[in-house]
Amino acid sequence: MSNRDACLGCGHFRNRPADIEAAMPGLTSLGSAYNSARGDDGLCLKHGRYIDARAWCADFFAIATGLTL
Amino acid sequence: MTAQTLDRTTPQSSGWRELWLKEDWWAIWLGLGIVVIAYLFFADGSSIKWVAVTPAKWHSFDQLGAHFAANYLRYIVQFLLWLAIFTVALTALGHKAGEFIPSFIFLYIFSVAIFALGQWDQANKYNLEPPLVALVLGLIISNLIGVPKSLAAGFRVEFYIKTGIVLLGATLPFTLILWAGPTAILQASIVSIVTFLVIYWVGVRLGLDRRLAATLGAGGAVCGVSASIAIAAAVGAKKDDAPIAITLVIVWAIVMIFVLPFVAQALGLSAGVGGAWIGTSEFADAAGLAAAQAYGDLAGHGAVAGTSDQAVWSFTLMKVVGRDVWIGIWALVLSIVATTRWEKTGIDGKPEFGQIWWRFPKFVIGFIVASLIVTAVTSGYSLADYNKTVVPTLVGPIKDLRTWAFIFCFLSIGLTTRFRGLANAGGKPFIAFTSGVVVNVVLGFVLSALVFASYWENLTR
Repeated sequence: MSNRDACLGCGHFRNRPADIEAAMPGLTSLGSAYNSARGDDGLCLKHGRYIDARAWCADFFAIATGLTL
Repeated sequence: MTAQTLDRTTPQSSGWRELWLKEDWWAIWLGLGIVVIAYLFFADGSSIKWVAVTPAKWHSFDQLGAHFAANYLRYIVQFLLWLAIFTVALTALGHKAGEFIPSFIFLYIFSVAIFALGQWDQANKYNLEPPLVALVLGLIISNLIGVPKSLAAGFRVEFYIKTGIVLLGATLPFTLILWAGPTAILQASIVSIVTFLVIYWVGVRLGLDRRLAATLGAGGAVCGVSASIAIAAAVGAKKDDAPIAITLVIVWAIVMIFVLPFVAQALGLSAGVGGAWIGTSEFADAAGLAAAQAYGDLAGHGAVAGTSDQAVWSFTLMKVVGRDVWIGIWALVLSIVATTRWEKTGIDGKPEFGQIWWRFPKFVIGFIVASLIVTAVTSGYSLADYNKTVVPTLVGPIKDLRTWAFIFCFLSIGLTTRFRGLANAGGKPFIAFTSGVVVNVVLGFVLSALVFASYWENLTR
């Protein structure tokens, strides 16, 4: 697995702070998606999990290939 | 909003861009910027106290009106300065200035009113401590009246509290951090580990998924919402696990804002001991500081032994130094356990030591540096000169600006907390988390008020 194939480069992965805050009710009440502790973590739409951007799986597809959600 | 509706822009890695893409760093830039400017004025024989205006003590509306009539220009300038620096920071973070500005106007006006109410000479009689008033008012507006979504852009709880904590560093002697820091780390570590294990053990015994149990445990044991989402990612939890933990953290944190100061006062705890207990047993920085500030205000009014500073200092040492900074290590350990011991999820990961740094709450660096700066530049003053010269012209104005940042935060907590909008936690997660709350509160009391009481009672310059 190379960094190129990590979740960060996958079309199923979303990690924009605004998206994370919208997807997690209450996050902004006592926290934030803009903090350091979150790192680059994000949501995997394929597996329905919240994951480290450096993770990987067999369902990876590069962002450049387009999205078919 | 479902995951499928999320914006399809390319995911981004922070890297060095974290310096301007994370609230922690912006809290450092703003906080240290204020400290440095305050020092430059001080070194020049002047002070920033003109712009660090706060409502004065008042007895009648005539007095209050006279204060604002005499100082309205100072408030306008202060408002414009806050607006300018926050707009720059939040715009860099990706927010829209057009949405933030009206929101902050709303926030500032209500903050002035809350601050002024807290300065009423009868406020203490009616328990109108500004942190509690800000929180309750925000909750009422948010839950009973409603806040338009477009107005929410300025309610950045964590950004305000981190900026305030960096400013707080300037008022906390570095020698105190060195003296009490190790005790804070020891006490906080004991409570954090025990609390995590209780929540995790009860959760697993109740049949919860191990990743959900770990997410709940981190929320109750380490640093609330931030810990929940960091650990959720480190172990690869389901996307609904973190919102469950967030709900429980919010509910219990808000309950504890009111309960801990009340019980601490009833038990006759000094300001330092009460602050340490709150720092050990609250679940989030913002909520804990609301409780600690409220308890400090009680000390300021003579209702509790000690000083207002002692409550805030001991809380901050315990929560920030003792608990928050270890989030990366918690994430590393749990990611190792998750990848080697727990059932597979279809997603693989390699535990990385680097997360100890990249998850580190960077604003703590600003807190330490602010303390170092002010301690260094004031080290040549005797205590008498310090109180006569440094406090009114350097430390006092920074503390006043810190108080403003905290009020923005406390009001924002209420304004962003809509109970109907929270995820449904469910019975088993509630039982598991609540078990940890009970152990945490009792153990926190024993360690703060009995075992290490001498440290927290003697936090003085």
